[in-house]
Amino acid sequence: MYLSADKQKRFTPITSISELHQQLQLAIELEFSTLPPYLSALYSIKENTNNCAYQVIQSVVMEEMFHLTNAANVLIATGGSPALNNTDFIPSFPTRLPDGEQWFEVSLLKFSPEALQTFKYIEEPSENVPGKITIGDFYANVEKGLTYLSETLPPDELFPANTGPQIAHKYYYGGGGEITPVTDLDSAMFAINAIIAQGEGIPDRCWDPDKPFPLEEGTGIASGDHQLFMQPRELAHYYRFNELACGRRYVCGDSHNSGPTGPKIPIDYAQVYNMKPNPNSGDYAFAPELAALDYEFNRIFTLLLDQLHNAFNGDPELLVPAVGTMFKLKELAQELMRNPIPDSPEQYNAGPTWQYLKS
Amino acid sequence: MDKLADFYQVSVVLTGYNRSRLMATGIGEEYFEVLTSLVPGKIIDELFICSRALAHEYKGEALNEKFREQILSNDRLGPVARNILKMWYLSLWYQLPQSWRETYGVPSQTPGKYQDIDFVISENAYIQGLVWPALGSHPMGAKQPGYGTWAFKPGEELTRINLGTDHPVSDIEEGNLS
Repeated sequence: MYLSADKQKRFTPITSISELHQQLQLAIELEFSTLPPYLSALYSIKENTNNCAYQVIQSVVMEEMFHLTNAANVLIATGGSPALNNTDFIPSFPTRLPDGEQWFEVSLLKFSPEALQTFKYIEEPSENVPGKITIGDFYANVEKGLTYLSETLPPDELFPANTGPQIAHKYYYGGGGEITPVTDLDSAMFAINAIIAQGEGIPDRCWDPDKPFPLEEGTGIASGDHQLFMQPRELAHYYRFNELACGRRYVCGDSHNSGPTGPKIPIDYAQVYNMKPNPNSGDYAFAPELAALDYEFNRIFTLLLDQLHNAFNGDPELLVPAVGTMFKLKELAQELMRNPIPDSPEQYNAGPTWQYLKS
Repeated sequence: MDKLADFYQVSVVLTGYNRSRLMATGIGEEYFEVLTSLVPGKIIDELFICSRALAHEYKGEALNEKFREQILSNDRLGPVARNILKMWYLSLWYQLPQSWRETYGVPSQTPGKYQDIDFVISENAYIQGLVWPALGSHPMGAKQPGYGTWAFKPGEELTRINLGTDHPVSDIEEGNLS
């Protein structure tokens, strides 16, 4: 992706392998930090309601996990070791995103217009916010660093032989994109590019927010899956969330600035569990049963991070039980959300607190 | 005390799951509606009052015993309590025994919606039956366990990585709170 001179100034250029590793570790933390907010909104939707919204958020979650895996594979391919099993890996909410995006805050919220606004900030296309940095800009800097290192280092130094096993596509199912092995600059750039395209879209350099979307290549609205992976055409995350926020579909003739003007999307914000914003363990201080449920959630969450960590550090087979752990986590999150917090003046329901339990 | 709260109270004793775990299924109110549609209010009230009184006086194993003695062995209350238990675990309403129906049944509590016959309470109830977590299993076709996890023994996927013994396991986790 193209990174303007102005935006480049906001990043420290990557000039060594250890700096590259540091940024890729940050990328993994960045991708993971989007999951608690997305999943909090997703699981707050009551059973068999808001089907469209549920599917949209779920599709984005699936692709965030794909991004995490891509970043981890690039890190492994360049001789690094992803670290997921520590308390610093997961931010405490509300938080700023770990890539240095200081211009908005991310909270854990039930499915609501406020949550969708945050999601749009997270997926904001770079061209849309010229003075601010986005996830796409962060990755553009990583790409620039990869290119720089490939020009200055011998290939077997940037991509050494005998690195640990990467995560193969067979472990990833049900989501957009395809995990491809990273062995050289081209495959590393392909993996990073897929992250940018799915989140923000791939606009060309002459991006014009008033140009109608003919839904063709290079307009910045499509996720790139159809070009990169020969998969059905999809909207980039930002535009998927904007459809929900506006309650309408994009149709031909719409532009970035016009927003979606197509058929209405049925959304019922009343069919949502009233999860307390940014739940924390203090909320359950006088509700021992909820504290126990939340502890159980965190125990499973800790197990998941341990499984993922080990899967990315030599034992990819652990992803099979890890997916089972993810489903358990979903059940526990929903169980918390179905419970009102006793004596809550706002009549809030409980929600998971997303804590890694080991130090 | 409202009746739904009474329903949860008796359900906690019957199922062995604490109130938050029961509310976590999201279908307690549905079960309550089925119960109050099919069983006369006076019998339900009697069950709730009796259950509250026992739980007030006895705890733990003693409560268990008294509950068996005074509720489960009671001609009038026993079949109703057993039906509540079956609803929570199996997501099914079983037709009350013939002798009970002849003595206590009142026709058409709420005509049309529920009848006192065997039926699956709802799609969602099937998914939320307590039998699945109690077995360490999942409702087939309704709650994904993850690809390939069927090759593990129940609970095995949770033990493949040892979390260590530094985590406190409190009583409440065992569902001992009533």
